[in-house]
Amino acid sequence: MLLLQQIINGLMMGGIYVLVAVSFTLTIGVLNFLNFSIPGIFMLSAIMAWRALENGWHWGLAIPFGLLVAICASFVVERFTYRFMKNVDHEIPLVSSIGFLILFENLVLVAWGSDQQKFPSLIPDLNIRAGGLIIGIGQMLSLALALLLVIGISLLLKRTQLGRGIRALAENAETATLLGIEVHRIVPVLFVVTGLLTGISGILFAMNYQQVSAAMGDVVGLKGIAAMVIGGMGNIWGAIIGGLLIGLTEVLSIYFFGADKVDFYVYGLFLVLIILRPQGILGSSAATGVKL
Amino acid sequence: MLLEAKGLNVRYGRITAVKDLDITVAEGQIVTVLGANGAGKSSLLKALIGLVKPASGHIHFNGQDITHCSPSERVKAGLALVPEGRRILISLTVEENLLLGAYHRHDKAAVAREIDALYQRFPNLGERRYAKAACLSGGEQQMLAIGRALVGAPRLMMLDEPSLGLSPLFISRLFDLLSDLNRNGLTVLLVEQNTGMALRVAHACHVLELGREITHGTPQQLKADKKLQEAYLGA
Repeated sequence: MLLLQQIINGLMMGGIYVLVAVSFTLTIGVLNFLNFSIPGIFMLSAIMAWRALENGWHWGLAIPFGLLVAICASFVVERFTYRFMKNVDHEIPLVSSIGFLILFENLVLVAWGSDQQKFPSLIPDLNIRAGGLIIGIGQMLSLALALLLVIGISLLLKRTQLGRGIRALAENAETATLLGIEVHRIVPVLFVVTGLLTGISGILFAMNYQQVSAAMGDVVGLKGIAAMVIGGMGNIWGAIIGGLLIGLTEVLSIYFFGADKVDFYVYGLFLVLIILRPQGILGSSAATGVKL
Repeated sequence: MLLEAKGLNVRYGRITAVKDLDITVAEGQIVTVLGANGAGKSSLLKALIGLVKPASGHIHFNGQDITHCSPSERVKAGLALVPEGRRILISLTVEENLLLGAYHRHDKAAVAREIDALYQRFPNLGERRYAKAACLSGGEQQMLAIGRALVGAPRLMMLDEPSLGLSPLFISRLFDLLSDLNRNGLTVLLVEQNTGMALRVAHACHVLELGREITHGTPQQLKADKKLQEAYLGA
């Protein structure tokens, strides 16, 4: 029963990785751009929501404020990185996105220091008890929200003309352009969407762990990248599987081997999967160019 | 004139792909541009749809100066390009490819009717409407590429070597289709290396060599020019 409990906890933690992995995979899949500023945006949204709460804002305002900052930050990253990428090597925007990660983290360090700060518990500490299992409302909310968002994005990509345009852009930017798709308008939309997803995951993380810090995005960001790669780069459903798998591995390795060896098992699994299936669980070989 | 390009120059760095080209396409015509590899034919079409910026020159379409318009504005104005190598989006389904051809249109019901009409015309596409476009044969992909352009309701359809890589049977079907579309009012600008077929359907021809026009005229005039036939048209 305790094992089942851990599996449930792991899936819920995985929901946060899922959102981060989907953010990474959207920019990789569509723009072939590994956006390293995502962990910074993750942190910014949580920190800004925390600041707003500290200043006495109602959570109903503080959370949207955090998300708004995340969206704006993501948009700024687009304006200063990807927009200039068209005619340069792919490494250049990648490096400038790392620059933004460092910038965001250090701005927060300068303003509020490096200490862990307590994020107030917004959701009453209610649990659902079912046959000996304890399911936290907050965690359940995170998982449900993460899955709903990802399903929503997937439907947007499949069913709407904007989504088809994004997928056309993912496969071939020149073909998309000559079909009359306005690439320069779609790209900022994509950054706004990934900023929102990352921001939501940051705030969910803060609510579940009830703490924020300038460096909170780093570990989650790395695991988000790992989740994306395990699932198959550029594949949304792969990001879900990868995210949940990492969440599960985390709690199960704590359960069986103790908390000090978590990273060993998480990244060990990552390594084994990458050796066995370099393209990722749902990834297709690069030759076919099939993405999203 | 539906399309009028004057003094068009296209350069890639120091290489001049198209030099001082004048070309006009009247409404209802099929105009063909012939020439060997590297004659500048594809660059001409890319400049006309807006994928490359001409170094100099002017392009007028339907009475409007589109020299500085973006590709999407040109598509909205009624231009469509069926690119070389078809450029089907293989990760999307057949139907999604067709829907993307109508990206700039907002009359969903009319688009759906036109797509249905296309399925009547090309039953192979209709049968595989929900399949990934990657599973189509070369000929079917070419039909899809043309269908995708047609769904955009263009006034001028430009095609870049549509017969490339097709079987003789498909090539003759392709040219029948172009003639048929033209009879129904579609204006066509056709770039081809398949000279014989192109001259059969065209109303007017331009022959390019190394980015320059060396001659133009009706198919009859070009066919009568024995020197030209031997030197450039490979007859």
